[in-house]
Amino acid sequence: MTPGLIRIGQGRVTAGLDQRARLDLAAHRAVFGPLPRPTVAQLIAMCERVDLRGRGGAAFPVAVKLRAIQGRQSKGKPVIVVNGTEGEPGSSKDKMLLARSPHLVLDGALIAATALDARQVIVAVAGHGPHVRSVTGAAAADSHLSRLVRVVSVPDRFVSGESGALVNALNGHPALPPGTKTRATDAGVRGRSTLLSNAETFAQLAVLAMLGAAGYASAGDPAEPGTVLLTVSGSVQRPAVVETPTGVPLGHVLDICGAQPSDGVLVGGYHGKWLTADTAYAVPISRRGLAAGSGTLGAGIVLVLGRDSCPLGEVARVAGYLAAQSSGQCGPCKLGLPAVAASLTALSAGAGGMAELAALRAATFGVRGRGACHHPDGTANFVASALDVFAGDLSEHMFRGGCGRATRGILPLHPGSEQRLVVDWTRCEGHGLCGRVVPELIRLDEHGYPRLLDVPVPFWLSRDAGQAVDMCPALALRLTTAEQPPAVPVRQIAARPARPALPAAGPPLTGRIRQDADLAAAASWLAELGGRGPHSDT
Amino acid sequence: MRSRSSRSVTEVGQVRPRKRSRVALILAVPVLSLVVPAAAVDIASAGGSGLLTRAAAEVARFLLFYSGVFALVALSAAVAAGLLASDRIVMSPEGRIFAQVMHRTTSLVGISALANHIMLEVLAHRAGIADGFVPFMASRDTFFMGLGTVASDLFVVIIVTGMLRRRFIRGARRQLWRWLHATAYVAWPMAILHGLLAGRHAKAYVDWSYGVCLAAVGLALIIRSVAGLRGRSGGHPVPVRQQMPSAPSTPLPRSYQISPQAPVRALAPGLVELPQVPRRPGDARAAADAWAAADAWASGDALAPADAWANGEAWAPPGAWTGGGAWAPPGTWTDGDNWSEGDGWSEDDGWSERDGWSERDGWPEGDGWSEGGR
Repeated sequence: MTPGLIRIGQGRVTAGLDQRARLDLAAHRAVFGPLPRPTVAQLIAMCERVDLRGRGGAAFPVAVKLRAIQGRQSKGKPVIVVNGTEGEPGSSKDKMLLARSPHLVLDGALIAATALDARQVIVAVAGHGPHVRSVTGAAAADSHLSRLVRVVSVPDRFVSGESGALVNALNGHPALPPGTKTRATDAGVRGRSTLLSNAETFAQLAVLAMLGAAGYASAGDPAEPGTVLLTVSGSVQRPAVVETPTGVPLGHVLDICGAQPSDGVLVGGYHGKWLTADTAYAVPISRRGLAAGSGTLGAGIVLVLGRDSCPLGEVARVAGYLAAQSSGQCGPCKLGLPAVAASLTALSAGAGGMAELAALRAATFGVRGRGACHHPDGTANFVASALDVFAGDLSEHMFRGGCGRATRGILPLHPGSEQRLVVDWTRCEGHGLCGRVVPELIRLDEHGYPRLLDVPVPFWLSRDAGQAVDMCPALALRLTTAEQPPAVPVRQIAARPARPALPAAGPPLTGRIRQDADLAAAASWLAELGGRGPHSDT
Repeated sequence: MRSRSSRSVTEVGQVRPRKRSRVALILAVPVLSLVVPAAAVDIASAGGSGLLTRAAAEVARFLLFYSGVFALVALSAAVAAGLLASDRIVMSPEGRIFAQVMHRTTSLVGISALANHIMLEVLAHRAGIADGFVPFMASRDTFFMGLGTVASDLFVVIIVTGMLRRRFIRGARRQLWRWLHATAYVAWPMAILHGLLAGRHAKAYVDWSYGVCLAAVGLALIIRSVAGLRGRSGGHPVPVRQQMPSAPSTPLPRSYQISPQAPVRALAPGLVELPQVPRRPGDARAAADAWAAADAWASGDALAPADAWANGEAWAPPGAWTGGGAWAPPGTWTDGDNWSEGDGWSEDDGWSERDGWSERDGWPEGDGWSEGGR
């Protein structure tokens, strides 16, 4: 089951994609017309008029960034950075844009570059796949583009896309968030003023410049006009990237995607918040609307959790993933997030009582605001809202030992290639040394036997984990390398017959014009993005 | 246009654990223990009366005299620390971790001193090169020299396999590793006999000290085997956390109270299925009535059909949003004159003849995209 592309109302950033699987430069110009060249003042005015915000999750006003660069102190031409890293496992919209409409994203970057007199555009992507090839091809489509645009790849990790981490990576350092906060607009790539925004933001900027503020504001909620790209997945029949005007009820999108009855809906990704199903169906899709429903729009991720998987187990699994994806730089995050994950694991296993819940709450709220980046805060939001929304499930786990449902892995995670700790239980004698060497990954139960956190060993704990293995007196602990799903060769996909990847029950939903081409392309790029498909659609 | 082959994606920002420096540091100890005395002997034997020569000669003499002693003391400490590290009766887990660290450190120091000792004995012509590795070949003190060689060979095997311990975890190799490692209890007394009885005569207190060490380790071994026979009872249990009282004295917050079906499930936990409330998507929601024509989606209207583009019409689900709400009514779209201009939106402006985009902009055929074209 691979996500498709669904459009509600008139498509803007997805315009033309019902006609073509990928818009090359000629097709792109045919759809979107010539590249507009507004001055920086005009651009700022337009952005302010429609209140264009960054679409990577932080919703920072684009006009503020543009203004900061316009009035910059530093010497040298500014640099434009398109952040297409999309580290959130639940998000595919930027990859979709880069794969299928790369010139729209580049147009946005070129418009900004022209207005700000920048001489370099850097497109940052993560990993490998069709989106990388597509944007590389687009960047070499004509001589002007190939002079201006450079594509770089950063490690496919959760925090790689944080703006500071990305600037670090582009400056030749490891892609980790910096300890001291500097705005990229003040000192970014090579110390120059840098306009760093998410790929969808640049696509929206291009659409805004093409339509003008009034045209752009003709769709959606007047307070936050325009369209947004959502990535809807989880327990849905039709996982999809959805372009929708703002103000449409989220329940509408959920119905279109065939969401199953659910206990909760996660909005905003793994740094976002859980909503109860009732709230989720009622809130309108906008920053303000979701915030009023105590959610967050974030990067437009909508993950539905059906009734056939254990919510607490799913949350514990994601918390473990987030703990492992931390870069291990800041103490509160390095020790706090594993503690959060361990408490959640214990609770979901039915092994925790009120004391464990209290410890979980203390750990969750203890990490907030105490890291170099937003990672601990976002994770705390995620866990705290889960405790509220899944309170019924939590009480079942605490008093009945479980909810009777298995954890099925509905919430997507990056395919792990890293090492894991494994115990041979027949050999373990409960010496308890491992729990003292890597308390982040191993906690001891009241008999002294280890309770492992089921996450890949993060790179900053690999040495300690190795030491725990070496120190196990019973030789019961070992490190295994999880098998990574083999990368699907490109030729193989091209050779495969176009297969409309649709649920057996539902008829095709992606438009009647050339749906086969659309679906085949969607299927192939998502299959190649790797590992994320097919979660069973139950 | 650059050719496709020159297009490359630069990889930046790699994050890797720092590992090599530590291995290098560990290996530096035995390497240095070989290089420094070899250099000292070389400088000293070159002759001359300079300060450097005299100092080198002193170093060489000192190491020749004491490196064997250092090796024996360090390896004895390693045996003792290893034994302590395996104890569960008097040692706390923290203490055992410390003992393991000492075990490794002293082993490394011991094997470095051993290598140093053998090399210097060979350089001083008190033993042949073969005597360092093949036992019972020495011209004098054949038996006790041979014991030393056997012990040295065993220690090398033990320490090298100890460093490769991780490779022995799987399957039956674990028992092999245990046996190999346990030969230390054979090698060590042989090393002591070699130390006391080969070469110069030791002082009485040295004899006594090693005797006491042997006795203590023997006693500890007996205790270890007995404790092992008596089972795994001697652990250091982790303090039991505060248990949840069976009946909470204070009323729980409402959200944590048990649902009505809970007593049924308590009778057979895990057997009774959760009540599955079937809910049709969109059921009882505001949009449901207007949205009754769900087949509009099913029939494939989810994307705007191409003719709607050409006419500049907004495509909206039939009758869905007339009730208002924040969403702009369909009429708004037609006002957006930017969209209805003939600037590329209409179908005859380039769709039909622009065919086969796979040939454009250097996009190679068969790259996964070509089949997306018509």
